[in-house]
Amino acid sequence: MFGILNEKLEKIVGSIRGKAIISEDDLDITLREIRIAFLEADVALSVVKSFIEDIKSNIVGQKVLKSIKPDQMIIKLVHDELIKILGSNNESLNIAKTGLTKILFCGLQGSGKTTTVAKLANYIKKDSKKNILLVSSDIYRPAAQEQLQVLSKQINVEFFNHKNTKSVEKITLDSIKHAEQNLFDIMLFDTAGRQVVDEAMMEELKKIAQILDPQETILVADSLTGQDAANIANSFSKTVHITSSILTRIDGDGKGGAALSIKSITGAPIKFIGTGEKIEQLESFHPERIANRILGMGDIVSLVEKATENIDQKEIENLAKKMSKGKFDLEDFANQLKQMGKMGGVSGIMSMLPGISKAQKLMAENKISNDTINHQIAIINSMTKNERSNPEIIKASRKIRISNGSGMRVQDVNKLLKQFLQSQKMMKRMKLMNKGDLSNNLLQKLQGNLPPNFNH
Amino acid sequence: MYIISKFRSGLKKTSRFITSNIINSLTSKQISPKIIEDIETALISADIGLDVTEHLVNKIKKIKITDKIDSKSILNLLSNEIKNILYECEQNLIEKHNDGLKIFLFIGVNGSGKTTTIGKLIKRLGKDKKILVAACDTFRAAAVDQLKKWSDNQEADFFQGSLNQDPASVAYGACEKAKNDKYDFLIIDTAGRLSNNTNLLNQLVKIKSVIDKSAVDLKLKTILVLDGTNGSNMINQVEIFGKSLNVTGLIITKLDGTAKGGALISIAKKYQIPIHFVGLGEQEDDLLEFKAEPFSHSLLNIEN
Ligand SMILES: Nc1nc2c(ncn2[C@@H]2O[C@H](COP(=O)(O)OP(=O)(O)OP(=O)(O)O)[C@@H](O)[C@H]2O)c(=O)[nH]1
Ligand SMILES: Nc1nc2c(ncn2[C@@H]2O[C@H](COP(=O)(O)OP(=O)(O)OP(=O)(O)O)[C@@H](O)[C@H]2O)c(=O)[nH]1
Ligand SMILES: [Mg+2]
Ligand SMILES: [Mg+2]
Repeated sequence: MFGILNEKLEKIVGSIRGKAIISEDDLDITLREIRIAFLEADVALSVVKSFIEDIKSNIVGQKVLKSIKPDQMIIKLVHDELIKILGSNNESLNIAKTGLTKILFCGLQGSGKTTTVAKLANYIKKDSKKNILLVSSDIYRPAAQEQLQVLSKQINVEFFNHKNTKSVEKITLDSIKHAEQNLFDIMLFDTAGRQVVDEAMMEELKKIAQILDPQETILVADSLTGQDAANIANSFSKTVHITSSILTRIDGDGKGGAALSIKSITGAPIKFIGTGEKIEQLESFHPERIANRILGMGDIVSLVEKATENIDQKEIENLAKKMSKGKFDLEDFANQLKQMGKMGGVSGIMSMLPGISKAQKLMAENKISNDTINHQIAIINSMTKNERSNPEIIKASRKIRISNGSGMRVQDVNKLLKQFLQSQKMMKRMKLMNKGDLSNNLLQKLQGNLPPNFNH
Repeated sequence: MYIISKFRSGLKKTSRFITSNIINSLTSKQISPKIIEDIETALISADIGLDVTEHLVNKIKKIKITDKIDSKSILNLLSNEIKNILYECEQNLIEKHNDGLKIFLFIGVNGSGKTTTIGKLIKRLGKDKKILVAACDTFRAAAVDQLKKWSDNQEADFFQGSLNQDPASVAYGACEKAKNDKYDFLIIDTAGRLSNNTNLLNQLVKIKSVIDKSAVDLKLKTILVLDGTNGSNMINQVEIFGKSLNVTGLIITKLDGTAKGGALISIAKKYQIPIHFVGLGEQEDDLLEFKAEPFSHSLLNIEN
């Protein structure tokens, strides 16, 4: 997400870099280019327009124009404007301290509501002992009830079975009663997908919201949405009081404009993002990091967080121990590769590092992909224990055996060994400066590990 | 004519915006930069990308200003341009005189409308045809149930594998059954997947090659279902799915709302690919043949 936008903005800002002052013409051209970049990233036109206007008026009002470098100023203004739209901190769900919290989900057909209901239930369940009830008022789509029921079983959360009730109002009333009587803490309420021009269905949603009186009303929207995001945000906000939104399919190669449009128009914070089909693939949304990412400033914070979250703590300690002894063999290298895979693979890590678009281009040129990681692990798996701890004994005949065993070419085996040697060197160097705390250390390790991947 | 008028009334809600913009811009009866900007605005808001918008706007700029120029003539010019780009894409999916088994493989991103469109297509093929529907989405919760309900409602035969069975092996079984039992149509539903997910893309390639092997001499159509509310990503989808899977045609869904599906124009310009149907709702009859003229008229809300 935001890759293209980031690349474009880097270019635009780059073209005024080095200039001492920025002329009105420069400014016009720059703003026009920013406008194009945002439109190409699928940000809704009305949002782009007000974005540009705001930047313009800020520049006009700014007296320090000469004291700051023009490119820095533009970055700052765009950054501030992005933060103004996206908000700065992650906002958490509004959950009542006592009594039943009701969370209503709405959105267009197929935006990902039902899946997200299950994901969010799973997310809440993970770090609280809340008693959760899932309800679906989708009486239209074939197998909509079954879908949520199956998901509820997967995550071991109760599902409200209204046994073919044909009235959405009755389902709403009955589910509240059921939740209150059975002392549930949180009720997640799924609705059918609806088009905003479908007046009857929008009326239905209004009615549900009136009966439910939810603490949270979440708009679930597809991050691949185009200009229509503006209409969606507008119409849903007019019908019900949207308190937050969740963007799905962030794992796609969409340019992410819908995030800006929806946040800007609803005014409600984006609280989570969906990053895949699987139930665990829901993440809390951190606007400032995204703003930084759009501007190519990198996102070290979320890299470190993600790393500490997904990496096996024991593995890390083991690696650290070995490193401190100056030992680092192919076994460790394989472990390191596996940890990388867990963090969303090379591309997952790359997208969080500074200079993202450049790095991604390099990756594309060198055809480095998550497959590469898997292939490398396969090669190492085909080695004997002895070979793994003493890589120098791997000569021609062993290479051929390993190549046959892993289904990879001998060249690939060579490449891997070369990369390993480079990593080993890096590790030795790191050992010398091995003073930081664990997460710092981790970051260095990761960054240390990346360059060899690039120049093979 | 029913089809066209249904098509238009479905799209009308979506395109009022464009027209009112243009009409408002023409009260001055002059093609000023302001008018050009308004037209640009209208086109961009319809997800017609910047390139195509520029192309269309350049045509407008060439109009000589005379007394005869009114909003209608400008709209007609625009709609003609759009129609000319899309015209080549009109193509029926269902060939009239074609005996033997025909296979339709449905693919597309998550939630784009594959399963529902299959349901509508069965209806369209008609009860006199022998149709087998195969559920190769063995991943998503209740995906098989959903397809089965559609299939049962339309009285087609249904083929499913066991829970979590490899979708390619389900596809293979379905092909064999369809051949042996002399079906007219085999329609295969697959799980939604994003075009940048290489693993899942490879799974599709495998499904397709299994079908190709089982049905060498048979006609296989691979149909990409696009979500009409998507913006420029639609173009990526056609590009990437097209590259690995030889997509033979497109269906665009959800144009019964406010989304306009303008990215189709860029797609038509860039790839020679048929657009078979448009989805205009969730019911069995809400599938209409794609026609360039009503589509472009409707996009600009031109009354005949
Ligand atoms: N790749 C990806 N797929 C997702 C994500 N969220 C949901 N999906 C998929 O999107 C498709 C539609 O999801 P649903 O949860 O059925 O959507 P819905 O909004 O409930 O759909 P309706 O009830 O028909 O309106 C399914 O295939 C999901 O697996 C996501 O974050 N990433
Ligand atoms: N308004 C409208 N809704 C549609 C149209 N086509 C499909 N839908 C709805 O979109 C939602 C998703 O449709 P599905 O057929 O389940 O989509 P899918 O591509 O099979 O989804 P996955 O299998 O999860 O990837 C459902 O609620 C459908 O009723 C259409 O043309 N118009
Ligand atoms: Mg649903
Ligand atoms: Mg489906």
